[in-house]
This record gives sequence, C-alpha cells and structure tokens, in this order.
Amino acid sequence: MRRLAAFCLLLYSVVAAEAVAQAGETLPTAVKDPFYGEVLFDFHQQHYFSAITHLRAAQQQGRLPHHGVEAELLLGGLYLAYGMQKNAEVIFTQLLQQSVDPAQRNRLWLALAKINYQRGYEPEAAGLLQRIDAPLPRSQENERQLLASRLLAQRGLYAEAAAQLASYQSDSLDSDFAQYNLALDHIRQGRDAEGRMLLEALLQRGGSAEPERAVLYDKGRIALGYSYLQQQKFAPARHWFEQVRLRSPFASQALLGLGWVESGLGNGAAALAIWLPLIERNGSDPAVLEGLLAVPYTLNQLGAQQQALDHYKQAIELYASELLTLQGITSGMNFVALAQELADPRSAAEAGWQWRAEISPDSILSPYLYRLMAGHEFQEALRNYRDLLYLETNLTQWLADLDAYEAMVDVRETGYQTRLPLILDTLAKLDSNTLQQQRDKSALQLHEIEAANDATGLATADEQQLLARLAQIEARMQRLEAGVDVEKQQRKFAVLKGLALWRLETEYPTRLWQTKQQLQQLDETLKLSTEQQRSLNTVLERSPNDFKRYRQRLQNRRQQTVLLQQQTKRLARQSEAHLQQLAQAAVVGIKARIEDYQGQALFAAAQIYDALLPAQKEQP
Amino acid sequence: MKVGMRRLLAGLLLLLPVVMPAALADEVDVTADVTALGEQVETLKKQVLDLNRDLFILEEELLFPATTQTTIFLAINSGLFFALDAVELKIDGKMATHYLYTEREVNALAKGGVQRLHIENLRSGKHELVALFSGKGPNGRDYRRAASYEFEKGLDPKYIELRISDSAARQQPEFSVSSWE
Repeated sequence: MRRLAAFCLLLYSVVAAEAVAQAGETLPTAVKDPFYGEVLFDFHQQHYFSAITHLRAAQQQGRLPHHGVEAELLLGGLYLAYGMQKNAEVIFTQLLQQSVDPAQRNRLWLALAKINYQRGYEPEAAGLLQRIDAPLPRSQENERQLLASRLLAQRGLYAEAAAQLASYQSDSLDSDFAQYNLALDHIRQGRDAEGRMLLEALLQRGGSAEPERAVLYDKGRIALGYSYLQQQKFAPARHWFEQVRLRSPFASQALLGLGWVESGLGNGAAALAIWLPLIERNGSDPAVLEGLLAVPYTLNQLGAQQQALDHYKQAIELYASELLTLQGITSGMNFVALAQELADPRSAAEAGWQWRAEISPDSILSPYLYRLMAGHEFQEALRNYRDLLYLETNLTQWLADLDAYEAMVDVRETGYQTRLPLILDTLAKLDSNTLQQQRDKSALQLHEIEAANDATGLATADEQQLLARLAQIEARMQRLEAGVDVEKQQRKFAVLKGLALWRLETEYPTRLWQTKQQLQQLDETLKLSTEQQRSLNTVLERSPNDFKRYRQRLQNRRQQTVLLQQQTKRLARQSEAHLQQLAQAAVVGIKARIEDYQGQALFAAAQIYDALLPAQKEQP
Repeated sequence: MKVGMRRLLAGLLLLLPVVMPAALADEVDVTADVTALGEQVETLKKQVLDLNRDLFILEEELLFPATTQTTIFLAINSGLFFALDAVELKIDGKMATHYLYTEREVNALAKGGVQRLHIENLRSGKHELVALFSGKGPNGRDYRRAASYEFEKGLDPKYIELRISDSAARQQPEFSVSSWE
C-alpha cells in the first residue's frame, strides 16, 4: 500500500500543473474543460477505471481542447495507478519525445525509472534516474533519493546507498522503511555493525505514534536484538528486546529473544521464567513454537531431565495438533472462496494498485497466511485477481445494458415507422414559402401604416366594426331631409366618432410597438420552424440508416464484450490457481517447519529417555 | 553459544518479516508464469478499457443525442464557507435530480474535480433551471440557498455549470450558474 500510495503522490504531482506546496499539499488543478474536471473527480476518488474511460472518451470526442498534454500526463498516471505499467510507459515515453518543459521532463524520467524498477529492469532504472538534471519538487526528490538508494543497495554499494539515504530530507514513513530495509540488507550480507548502526539511528528518531511506524520500530528492535544476540552481545540485545512494546505483534519474538539472552548469560532459570509464560501464548505463533523447544532444552541443561521430558512431550503433542490443524486446512481449504472474499470487487472496486488485501484476524488461516499476505508476489497476484473480477462484473453489466439498448433501438424504429405518415403529412402541409410571403405582406402593411401614420390601420376587429357602423350612420345621416332634428344627431355622432378616433390615435404608438414586436417574434418562430423542418428532413433521410448503424455497432460491441468476458473468466481461473498454489506452498512451508521442530523434540526426548533409562533400572 | 541455540536463532532470523518500503522494496521474485499472467491481465485491461470507451460514447449517442443533450456540472472553489451536503435540481419546474454527497466526493470536488451532476434531453428553446444547495454554512449552521438560470437550448449540446465559491469580502459562500462555452 505504501508503495502505491507513493505512486499516487507522484501521479498527482505529475498531473497537477502547480508546484507542490511546502506542506506537501497540492493546489487544485485549474479546469478549463468540464470533462477534464470530471476525470479529476473520478481520479480524486480513486475511481481509476472510470477516470481512464471518461478521459479516453473525452479525448476521442474532442472535449479536452485546453488540456492536451496535461490530459496525456494524467492518463499515464492513471494507467500507473491502475497497474498498467506498460501502457503508462508508452505514454510517458511519447511525452518525452515531445517538447515538454525541463521540469516536466525530469518528473517523467522519475516516473519511467520507477516503472522500470518495478518491472525488474534495475540498470535501466538507474540510467533513467541519472538523466534527471535538476532538483525535483520535494516529494519527488524524496522519491528519487529512495529509489537511488535502493538501486545502489541492490548493486551491493551499501555505503553509497546509506549516504544517499542520509541526504534524504524527510521524516516520512517511506524513509524509515528504506532505512530499515537497507539495514537488513547489511545484516544479511554479514555486515552486522553497519546494519545495526542504521537501525539504531532509525530508532533514535523516535516519534512512533503512527501505528505503522510503531510496528516498523518494533521490527527494528527485534532485528537489532537478534543481531547482537548472534554475536553474543547480550547487554545491548536485552536492551532492544526490552524496548519492544508489550502489545506489539512481535512481543512473542522479543520474549523468546530475552530468554535466549538469559540463557546465553548462563541464567537458565531466568530464561525459563520468561519462556514459560511465552509458551502459553497462541500455539500458531512461530516464536511460541520455538519456545516449546527452548524450554525443555534449558531444563535439560539445568539437569531437570524429567521436567524436560514432560515439556518435550507437551511440545510434541502441540506440534501434532498444529499439524492436524494444517492438514484439515489444506484438505478442506476452499481457497477460491477465500480469494474471492479477499478480492471482493464490490469494495473499492476501482482502487487500483493502492489497494491491499487484509485477512481478518479472526480467520482460522490468519496465523498461517500472515507472511504470505505480507508478500509482494501474493498481493500483486491478488490485485490482478481483484481487477479481473471487476472486469468480469463490468462486462456482465454492459451485456445487460446492450440488451436494453438493442430493445431501445427497436422501439425507436417502431415509433418512427408509426409516426412517419403523420410527419410526412405535416411536412407536406407546412409550406414555409407561403408563410414567409404572408409575413412579408404583413410587414409591408405595417410599413405603410407607419408611413401614413394611419392609426385606423391598427384597429382591432371590434374597432373596425365600430368604424364601419359609424361610416354607415354618417351616410344615413347625410340622406336625412332638412327639418329633421339633424343638427342634434350630427353633434352626437361627431362626439361618438371623435371618441373612437381619439382612442385609436392615443393607443397608436403602443399598438405600433406591439405589432412590431409580434412581427419580430414571428420572424424567430419562422426561423426556428425552418431549422426544425431542416432537422426533421435530415432525420427522415438519416433515420433508417441510423437504426441500421446503431444495430451494427451494438452487435459489434456485443461480440467484443462476449469475447473479452470469456478471456477475463479464463484469466481469473488462472489467477485463482496461482493464488491457490501460493497459499498451499505457504502452508506446506509452515508444515515442514513444524515437522522439523517435531523431529527435534522427538530426538531430544529420545535422548533423555536413554539417559533416564539406566537410572530407572538402577532403582529397586 | 551452543549449536542448538544458534540453529534456533538462525531460524528465527529467517522468520523476521522483511518490510518493504514505499515504492522501492519490491523484490523482483515473480516467476516467468506470473509475469506472463500479469502481462496478459494488463493487455486485457487495455482491451476492456477500449471497449468501455466505445460503449460509453455509443451509450451517450443513443441516450442523449447532441441536438437535445443538456449536461449540468457542479464545481466548488475553495469551500471554506460552505460544506456541501446535497443539491436539488429542477428544470422547467420538474425535479431533475436530488444528489447527496459523500465526504469523499466533496473532497474530490475541493481538489478541482467537476461532477457531471445531471444529463438529460431538452428541446430547442428557452428553459429554466433552479438549483437548491444545502449544507453547512459559516459557523456550522444549516444553510440553504437557491440559484436560478434561464438558458436557450439550441441544436448543439448545452453544458451548464453550477459553481460554489467563497466570497472573502462577504465571508459567505456564493452560488452561481452559467453556461460553459
């Protein structure tokens, strides 16, 4: 997890255009295309599969015009995070061939060096590191120094590796891990003094509040204790064993070591005082299994042969019981089910290679598979398996979706066929030219009204009716003979006509404006109608072919999906078999070790029997 | 030290788990078969990703044709004065979506991520969008604000952005809606 967490940091720093802030935090990326932001949204949630899919779709659809190089960098980083190193390498190499700025080039060299290191190409990784020609931002500089140190150690250049680490300016857990590993390399190569020096320097740093760091420090103390013990330097060995925390997972190893310190100093009784409580602990713990031999060995050394014999018998029984348990596990072990549980693709389905499986402490396999689970090979195999399960789920989902989309195309085509006559009829009736002529005629009328300032031209139907009636009345009044009380009627008529005209004249400006607005709206409607008509014509022309094309595309994708699903299933089965082999090999290794202990116990017990036998014969 | 004890110690030293450092400590101990399997898995992943890209595009073309496609994005600038809990979105008076945010999503938005909140098909013409944001405002108080936006949908896809930003001057969050050109 640490390895890939560091990768993710690198990834983010590579993709984020902004420099890494002093506190190690990164500034939000400036998003200029929304679809690039969508990819970042997936990326920051560690949904790497979705992020890659969205990014590549957006690239294909030309939706990332402002993030060309940035998007490629991000894609390379996403491939890395999703365990696709070869694809990442291709992208980074291509980017290096383009003219990217020097700072970016150095980051790319580092990314490529790490990819090569992970793939086992150490000389290439070292060569790539040497191409970095300027200091990197802090987090990447730390990455570079750690990698350089590890590469030097692998070449046996321990002093240079240590010097590289000494210049590492970080109090991060990564540097502690690197120092621990370098120290252990020294010890394994027989340079105990150098190894111990590195370990002691590490432990003097203190600050073990983080659980991971506290566990690492306990491991360091254990390694120091046993290194001193092997060289019979009992006082410092005791010191480091005593520093191991009581609740540490390594407490049993520390107790065993402390017992050996006392034994080495000739304090057999003191050693027993430590080991007797130790062997009451969980019998699956390797330190307890060894303690079961150490107790009778020391009792025998102290001359308590009968007690030693009893303890050897107890050890033999416990070893037999452990072997029986292991037998039961191996014969009835459904490792495929366990692997499926460990690799459950529903949890953090797209987490990529940051993900690390953890076995439940309650599992019956937990004590036996602990070391296996800690191993790189097993975790990598499990990640591959988890990814395969996810791919299988993804493809199954697509197949179901494809069913729906095919049905949808069918429904659309049926709907199209049903509505086609109606549409054709509507289109036939829809004469855009006539509509446009009518509009032009109205516009001309309006222009004439405005030019003549003719308020009656904008009269409503009721008003026109009224004006017509007034005109009729006026004509009738003119036909009336003299003598009739015309004058009075004419005055009354003049008032009525005046009222009607006054209303038309006063409302004329408003009506003129409103009519112009209506004409404008009519223009827009006509334009939209023309566009829709054009669009409709295009649809009518294209639809039959579109349905055909969609069906063809869906069918092609279905074939691809089915094919890939078969490949996924085949690889998942291979992966299961590989995991099973690893697990069985681990259990067989444990079994062989217990059998070895059992053999030693049986042999020692037989020796004591032999020694006791003459004494018993002599007794009356 | 006795031979038996040495043997036990040697065995125990071998048992010490080797801790791998970040990024660096991987032992290259995988067998050829395992490497081949890993490479096959990577090849397969690439093929499935290619297929997913094609299917994703096909799905979008089928469900949301460009002529009617309207996509609503959500982005956050800073977020010091507002912790987003949920967004309710209405288009032309109809409920389009009601989205509740996880902490992880809010963090992803704060880091520059942009969420594709909603996608739907709209006819050409005028439309109105109303977004109701709820969460915790300044001083941890419940905070609800609405923002509305009128827009014209043409024959090209329409992208609209809802943005939550901080107003340092007012010490308040600001909610804006705009078209993403």
